[in-house]
Amino acid sequence: MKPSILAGLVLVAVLATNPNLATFAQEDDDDRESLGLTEREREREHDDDSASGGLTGLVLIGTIIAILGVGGYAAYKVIRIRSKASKPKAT
Amino acid sequence: MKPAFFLIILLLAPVAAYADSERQDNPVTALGWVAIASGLLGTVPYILYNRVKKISVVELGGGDQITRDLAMQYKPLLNVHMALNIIGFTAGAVHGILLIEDLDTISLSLAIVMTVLTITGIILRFSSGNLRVFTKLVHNQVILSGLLVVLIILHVTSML
Ligand code: HEM
Repeated sequence: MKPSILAGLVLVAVLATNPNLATFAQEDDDDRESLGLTEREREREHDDDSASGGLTGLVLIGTIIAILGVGGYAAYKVIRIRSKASKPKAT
Repeated sequence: MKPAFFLIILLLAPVAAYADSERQDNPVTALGWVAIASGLLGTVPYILYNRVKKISVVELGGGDQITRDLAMQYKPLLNVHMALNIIGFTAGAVHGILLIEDLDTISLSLAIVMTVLTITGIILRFSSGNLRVFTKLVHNQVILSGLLVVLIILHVTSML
């Protein structure tokens, strides 16, 4: 296995098992259940998410369009290269 | 010996996440900063290196000693790029999963772009032929790296 991949896996293992991570449940902590993976203390009130919803929704749509666009462009390029390569040299 | 040394150095990188946990009330937030830092360290020098190498080829020619010396550094620098970005991705992903409750559209966009870049990077390293051409075109796209930077800035500023 590549050292870099191994290092990534080890990092996940270290993070997942580290008892110092506040997010993971302590036995004497009533508020936390199970591993507490999705639970944490709320520092602030959950303010209305929709306040900037319209704009941030655009960010997500833009992101997806950008990725699909880049993917489409790359696929188009590959197809162009292939069809050119398979044609006979002299035309 | 060499791989072992490499591994040990890599394992020191996430230590920063714990170093801050005394001061900061949420070490998971620090994990996000680890992701940003290792991503920057893994990518900015690598892009600069590739620029300099290209300039050297154009200005001095492929046979020049400087160009050759630069070319010798390709593999180690690529390894650093891959290793730090995998660490950064992992740190960012754990950070995101632990804070999944607060998911918003900017964070989701960021996670998508991170994942696309990481997956194409890994495929790029191990593929050949058409798949390699495709992933290279996607992975090296300035739009995606630029989008990543913009989303990181939006993500961080929206948390303030
Ligand atoms: C997630 C953030 C990442 C970003 C922003 C990023 C960005 C880049 C950029 C801009 C280049 C082109 C450098 C240049 O030619 O100027 C590049 C190349 C490359 N990256 Fe990444 N990368 C990321 C992650 C990864 C990962 C996780 C891997 C693999 C495990 C990877 C593997 C590669 C490889 C193999 C190349 C060389 C392409 C070639 O041979 O031309 N990258 N990356």
